[in-house]
Amino acid sequence: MKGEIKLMERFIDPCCDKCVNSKDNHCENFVECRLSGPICHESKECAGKRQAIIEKYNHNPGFFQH
Amino acid sequence: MYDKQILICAGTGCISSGALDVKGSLVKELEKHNLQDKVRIILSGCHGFCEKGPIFIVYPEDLFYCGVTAEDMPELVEEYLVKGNIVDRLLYKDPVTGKSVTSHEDIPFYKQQKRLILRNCGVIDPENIDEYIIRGGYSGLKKSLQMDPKEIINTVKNSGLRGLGGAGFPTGRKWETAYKVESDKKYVVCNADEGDPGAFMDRSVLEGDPHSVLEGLMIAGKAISSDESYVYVRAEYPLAVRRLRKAITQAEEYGLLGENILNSGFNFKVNVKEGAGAFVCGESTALVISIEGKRGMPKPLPRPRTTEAGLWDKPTLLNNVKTLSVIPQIINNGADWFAAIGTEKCKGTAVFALTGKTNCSGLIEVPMGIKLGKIIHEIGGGIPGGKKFKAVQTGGPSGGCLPESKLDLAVDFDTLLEAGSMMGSGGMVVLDETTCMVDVARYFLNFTVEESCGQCTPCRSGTLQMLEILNDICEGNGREGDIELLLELGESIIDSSICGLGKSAPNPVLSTIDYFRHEYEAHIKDKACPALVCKKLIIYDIDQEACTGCGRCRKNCSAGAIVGDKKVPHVIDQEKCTKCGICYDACPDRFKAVKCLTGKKITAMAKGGGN
Repeated sequence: MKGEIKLMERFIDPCCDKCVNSKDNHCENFVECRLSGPICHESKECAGKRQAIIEKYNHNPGFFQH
Repeated sequence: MYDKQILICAGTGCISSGALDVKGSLVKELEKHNLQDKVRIILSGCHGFCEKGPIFIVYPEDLFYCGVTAEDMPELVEEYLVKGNIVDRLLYKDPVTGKSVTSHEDIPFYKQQKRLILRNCGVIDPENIDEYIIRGGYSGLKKSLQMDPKEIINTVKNSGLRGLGGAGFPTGRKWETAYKVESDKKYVVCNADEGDPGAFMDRSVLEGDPHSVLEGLMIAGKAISSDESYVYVRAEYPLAVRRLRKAITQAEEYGLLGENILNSGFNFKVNVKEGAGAFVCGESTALVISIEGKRGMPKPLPRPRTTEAGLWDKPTLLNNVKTLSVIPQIINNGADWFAAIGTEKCKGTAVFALTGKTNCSGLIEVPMGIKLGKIIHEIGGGIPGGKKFKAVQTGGPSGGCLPESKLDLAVDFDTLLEAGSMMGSGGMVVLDETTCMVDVARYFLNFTVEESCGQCTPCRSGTLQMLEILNDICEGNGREGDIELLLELGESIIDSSICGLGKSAPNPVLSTIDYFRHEYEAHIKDKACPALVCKKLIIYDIDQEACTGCGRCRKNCSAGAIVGDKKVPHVIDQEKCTKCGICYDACPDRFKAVKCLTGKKITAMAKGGGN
């Protein structure tokens, strides 16, 4: 819904309404997008959501490899 | 975000040592101290140092605790997580200096390793696809979807990767053969049967990094134009099967497997087929037949190559778990990156299950070309109990035993083959002075006799004949000419068996005769077992002058075979003695009155023939 900040808990979750990736319509840039996106639109908030997932699992220097 | 992340090794080895109990206890203690939201627990795949499991690492500081138990958790949480005091008794101790080591990277076992195939094992939660992606996962697949099949194949060819299932065949060349065959349907098969006793390399990759295998399968499929694969995994690996199935479900959910992967038009399906526990099903033609639902028996020559006509007579590319697992990194990083590791003819790394008489048993990954002695003495930490190194058995039941004189060997496919052994899938069993080499040969031959499919006479009957001769030798019934007969039988079995199982079955016998012929001769001519192992060739006896009648041996003897009054030298009744050796261990070092003897005269005594 407009204005609602939705949690992105896993990479498969959309970052916002602009995300087109779905079960029936896979985004070809899915991997790249989740690691360093968003790619299809600009949004610091959406980038932050990705970063939050990465930081959650990034338990030591060198863990994140991209 | 989390203050701490605790990684607990949850490979099958550490689970059997209580890793899940450790986790359970840790969860309770965290809740007690209200830390459950600040500390994340990761159950990883095999971290490698199985000797010291369960492994427990605290991040971000990389504090390595080992041999932890559920009972240690209250102290560990209270002292370290709450108060910040390191629990020294749970740290690894350097065997030379006795000093505590805090980071696993400073432990000799890990220092010399180069983990490519095992890069995610012991690092990620294998049941979390996001962690795999964060570590670069599925980037190789993405890249390959934009590459021409020939480009993918050339990358693999130029990398120099050779099949890590045992034969060491150039992987790129195999892919190219499968690519060139024209067919309406092709298959990719992952051989995860891992039948070698004691081997657990493939199991650990499947348990610890299943997505890497899936990604490798898909890249292979793209390269040869296949849309379907099978992972043939032994049913005795329930954890590996479970994690693999979960990984497949996750990859499908993420659009990284199945129909129209990443919107590329490329479809790929992965089926899991659990094996029925037959060693021979690790042989490619038998494996394929087993997938088809038939009895797993190798096809005799002449037969088409599996890449031309395999599964349901369709071109089938068959690769080992480890081979497929490293493919995504080769695509991502390029052929030159991989080719820079290893030797001129053997690129990359090798994974070994280092077991036996070693201080540091576990799973290791080293660059091809590393010296064998370095693996045994530096990574493996040498031989426990101050014993002397005798030999190392490599390549599982198909391999051979290499003596001390070969410790300078640079380990790769070709050097091990030249020395009379083989790399195989990666089993490496260290043997010391207390090992009887004839008995070792018998052990491995017994395995292959049991596992023979029975199809061809040389393997079915020939190996049995060899085993009977070895049994006779070990039981004191060896005869002049037995060694020559073993050699003749062995050569003839190698020449005339249908498949690799038969062709390699005599290897342990031939290599031990080659390097340890004197042990065979001692067994046959002197009726002696120099290593004091073969029960029919040894007796335990008490030195009447050294024995003080303390009674320790008598009290520990479960067979009631030792008699003697207090302070009177004891005597062993040879007819009752089961040769367990407990009396030998029980006798105090200051007396050393119990002796283990061998030789013709002694053997006669043991058989009740007296002196």
